Order: sequence, then structure tokens, then C-alpha cells
Amino acid sequence: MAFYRPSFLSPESIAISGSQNNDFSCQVNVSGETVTNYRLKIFTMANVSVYDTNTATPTTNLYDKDRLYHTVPSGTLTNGNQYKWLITTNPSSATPVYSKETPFWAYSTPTVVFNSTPTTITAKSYNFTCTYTQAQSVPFAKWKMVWYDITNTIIEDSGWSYSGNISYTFDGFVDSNSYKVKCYVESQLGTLIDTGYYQFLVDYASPNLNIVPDATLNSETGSVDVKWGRAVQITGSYTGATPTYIDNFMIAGNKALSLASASDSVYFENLSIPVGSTIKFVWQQSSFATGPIITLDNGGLILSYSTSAQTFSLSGTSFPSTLYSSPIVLNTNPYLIAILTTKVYIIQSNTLVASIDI
Amino acid sequence: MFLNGTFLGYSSFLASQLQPMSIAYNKISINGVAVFDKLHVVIDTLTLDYLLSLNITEELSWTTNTVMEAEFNNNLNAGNLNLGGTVTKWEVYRVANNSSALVKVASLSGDAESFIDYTIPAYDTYTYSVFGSTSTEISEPLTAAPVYADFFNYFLVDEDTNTVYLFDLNASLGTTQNQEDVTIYNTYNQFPTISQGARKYRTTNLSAICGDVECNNVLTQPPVYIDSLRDFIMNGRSKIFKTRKGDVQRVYTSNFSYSLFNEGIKTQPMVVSFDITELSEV
Repeated sequence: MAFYRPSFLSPESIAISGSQNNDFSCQVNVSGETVTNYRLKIFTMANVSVYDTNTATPTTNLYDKDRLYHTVPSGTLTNGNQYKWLITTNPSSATPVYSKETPFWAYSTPTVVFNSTPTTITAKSYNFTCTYTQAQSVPFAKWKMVWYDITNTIIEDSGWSYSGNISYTFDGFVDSNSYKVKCYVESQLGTLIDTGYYQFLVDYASPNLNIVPDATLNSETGSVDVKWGRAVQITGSYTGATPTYIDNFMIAGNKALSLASASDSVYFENLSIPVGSTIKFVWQQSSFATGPIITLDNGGLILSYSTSAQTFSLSGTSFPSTLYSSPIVLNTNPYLIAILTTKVYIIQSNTLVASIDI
Repeated sequence: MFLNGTFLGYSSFLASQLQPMSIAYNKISINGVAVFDKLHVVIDTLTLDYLLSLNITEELSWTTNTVMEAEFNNNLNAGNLNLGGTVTKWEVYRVANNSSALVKVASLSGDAESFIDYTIPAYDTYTYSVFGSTSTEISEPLTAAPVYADFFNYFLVDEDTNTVYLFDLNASLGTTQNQEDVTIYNTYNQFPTISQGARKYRTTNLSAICGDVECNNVLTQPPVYIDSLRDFIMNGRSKIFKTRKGDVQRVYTSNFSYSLFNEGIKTQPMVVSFDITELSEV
């Protein structure tokens, strides 16, 4: 009856950590018989014995093609050294058969950790970096990162990289979603490790653009037209006292500009208000002062209110004479004032209370 | 004829011709003593009825007609942009229904105002988000309403020139061949050894009638159609190919041909065909 060497030995040409228990195993080839006993030996590469089970008995009956396991205790091997091992199996009615001598490394298990783990990421993209460490300076062979949504569905796999820093920028996070990312690294001695899941929330906290894009399907071209228009940055300036803002104007949570003195003014320049435009604003007076309310182009148009005449008036260099509204006694509630091409309307509580015909 | 501005201040009749908003202005100043809110300038002549119906406490959306809009929310901002500088780049993303990952579809310069996405696959709902960025900041996403990609035809697109050919007249896609690099080595063992490379792309061909069908069911096939399509197919540029199945590929087109003209028949459909080779995924 032919017996074959034990096969499929593990570990083989990989690294294990000497600071923990390690299972050594092989497939036994004892055609039609069982393994009576076995002997496992570990040598340094200089053939110095470091471990020998002598005659050991399997804990269970091992038949042909079964797998034999033996645990080598922690501390037997010294990390940073290369070893070789062999195993002898002794069939019940035959001479022992030897495995081949199989090399392996003992080294400290490498680690990999994310360098920064914020719980909230405030952008659609983020650069993830990891640090790989191995006590005996065995470098990594390859790494990759995998991103998951909160249900552990993979949304991105960086693919294996074989060099460089462990760094990858993911671009495409959706606001208010939670994600997980895991980094896998395999050392040059074949140990595959990972960071475990790192979970984070994406919450964009960037300044605002007050634009609502429009997306329209064009079925004739199989495309979508996305339009968002031009971004315009306008910031007002002031003369006189620093502007102040009052809370809960008209409704809770709404703020409004308060100009406390007749010499206080806020202005907006470089506007390009074309012909045919409408200017409207909410205006409220409590002190019933006389004076200009709004001025266009340094006096081209001036809308004022007079407490003595109790009228709104329109004047300026664009006007040959001053135009007046009918008298109106102001109250302390807000007014909506609209300046159009041919009219100035003063409205309160959705009712027209005064106007100027131009 | 009246010369506006020439006879200033001397005639009430002339004064009635001078209209404040018939002159372009560049500056607005508001003066105390008063409270101001929702200073809004729009390129439109709003009606009294509209103004009377307004809820004046409501914040308004910025539209293409808006010139300025100051809400005075603790600041004097009156534009639609509140960043630390001008927008230098726009990035357009789309996300499919139930997906958690944005797909970037374009990165555009700061003066861009629109984008046409030819790469959208069919038969799903997509939401587009646009991000504006300055040299130091990225805006929050500007998100459009979802759109369902409902189209059914073969399209060939050169996105750089915005050229789109639609094939819907007797269009027929040939068998799709998957090109791969597999070599089978026979050995002395029972089974062979297989060698496989990374090659993986598709080839096919498309044929269709080149013309238009009018409302009266009359087929028109101007010769310029075939000439321009031939030039398009053979221009050597990569193109986007969209199928009725809904998928999208970047392809190379070649081998343009068209059917023989039978001189015994006055009106006959002119069928064109060409080969399609996949270059990459989109």
C-alpha cells in the first residue's frame, strides 16, 4: 500500500506571530489506515531545533485526507526569525512518512490604523490615510480601501495598490449620510490585516449659495440639461453707525436691518439694475422722521417721507419736479414699498394705502 | 419727439415722460431712521395684484431675473453667493435613486452656468447636485429636483461639440461580441492550461435608416444626412454610445457603409451601418 507524504502544510512561506499560539496543520495521506501518532519539529534555518513534539497522539482518529492540527504555544518562536518545520505521520501498519521541510517566518503581527477619524466629515470628498506598522520592519505588499454605506453595501473599492503611501481621496459623499470605510493591507510576508470599520457622518457645513438648479430631461438627445445660472456676490456697505439687526421682525426668527439715525445709510453698488426692473422692500418707521427712505444713484431718484405733509415724495436729478402721494398717516406696522416703471406703491397688510403716479 | 433729459425740470408734461425705472441704475442707498427688510430687485415689472397678494414675510428664491436680494440676516449680503471669494469652479454630480454615492459628471470653470449630461443611463431617477468652490471653500450642494431618465433610442454623442445623432428608424443593433484574451494550452494532462489577459471590451454594429419621417408618414432622406453622418462616424473622435437597453459606453466608430441604390426603384430607404468598438466605461 502506498503512503504519501503529509501535504498542504500550513504555515508555508508565510509569517506567523511568535507571541501567540499558532496552529500548524497538514493533510494526512494514509490510504485506508489511521494515524497512530505524529511528530512535529521546528528548526532554525541553521538546523537548530527549537521545538519537538516527540511522539504525539492525535486527539481524534485521523483517516486518509483528514487534516491534522497541532498548536505550538506562544513564546516558542522568536519574532524576526525564519524557521522551517516538518511533520512525520505514522500510519497504523507502516513506516512513518515525512513531510517536506517547510519554511516560514515568525514576526510581529503588523497593524494598520487610520490617521484621522473625525466622526463628521464636512465635505463631499475626504482624503483617507493610514499608517502601517510592523515591528520587524517588514513592509506592506499591497493595500486597498473599501467604502460602504450604512447598510454595508460597497459603494467604492479603491482596488489594490502596490506602492506609495496608504492614501486615497474619496469624492462623492452625499450630505447627511453615514458611511463606513475599511482599509486592508497585506504584508510582504502574506499577513492580511485591516483597520476594522471606521464610521462617520457626512454633513456639509459650507457657506451657502442661494441658487436652485434646474434639471430637465431632453429625450431627443438622451441627455439632461442642468442649469444653475450665474453666481453673484453683492455685499452692502454703510456710512454712519455700524448697522444693527433686530430679531423676530414680523415673524419669529426673522431678522431685519435697523438704521437708528438719519445719517445712517446702507448702500449697494455695481448692481446694473436695467430698465423695467422693480425695487421692493419692507419698511417700518416708529419715530416718524422726515427724510429720504431710498436713493438710487446718488440722487437720481429719491423716495422720501415728510411727517409734516404726511406724504411720500419722489424727486431727484431724473425728475424735473417732485411728485407726491396723497397724504397718509403712518402707523408703526411694516409697509411694503415697490418702485416700478410708472408707479410707486405703498402697501400695508395686502392693501394699497398710497401711490405715486410717475 | 421728446429728448429725455434735455428739458429737465421745466414742464410737468415732460415730467410725466420721465420714469424712474426706465433708466438703468447702479446703486441703491437706504436711509434711517427706519427698519428695512427683504430689499429685492427683480428685472420685471410686477403688477399691483401680485404685490397685493404677496406674503411679505416670505423669503424669496433667487431666479434668473433677480438682481439683488438682501434679507439682512445679520449681514449685508445681497447676492446669491456668500463665499469668501468668487466661484472659480463648478462641479456637477448626480446620484441615482437609492444610491449613497455621488457620481461626478463634470468639473467646469467658474463662469459656467449650465451643463448637458449626455452620460446619464436610462430608466432610473437621478438627482443632480452642483457645488461651487472658491480657492478656499466649497459650497453646500445646490440640488435640483429629481429627473427620470426616460428615453428609448440609440444615441451617438460627441459631447465636446454637442453633436447628437439619434437612431430610431429601423435601428438594429448587431450581436455584441465580448473581446477577451484567452489562450488554451493543451498539455499532457487531462485538462488544458488556460491563460487569460485583462482584455475586456465589446464590439458591435448598428444599422438604421438615415432620414426623417414626417407627420404624413413620408420618409425624407436628404443626401446631406448621409454625408454628415459619414463624416461624424469617421472623424476619429471617441463618442458616447447609448443603447435602448439603457447602458452607456465610450466608443470608437468605424466602417461606415450604406446600402446600394437600386436604380429600378424611385423611393427606397437608405440604410447605413457602422461598427462600434468600446473604449471605456462612462
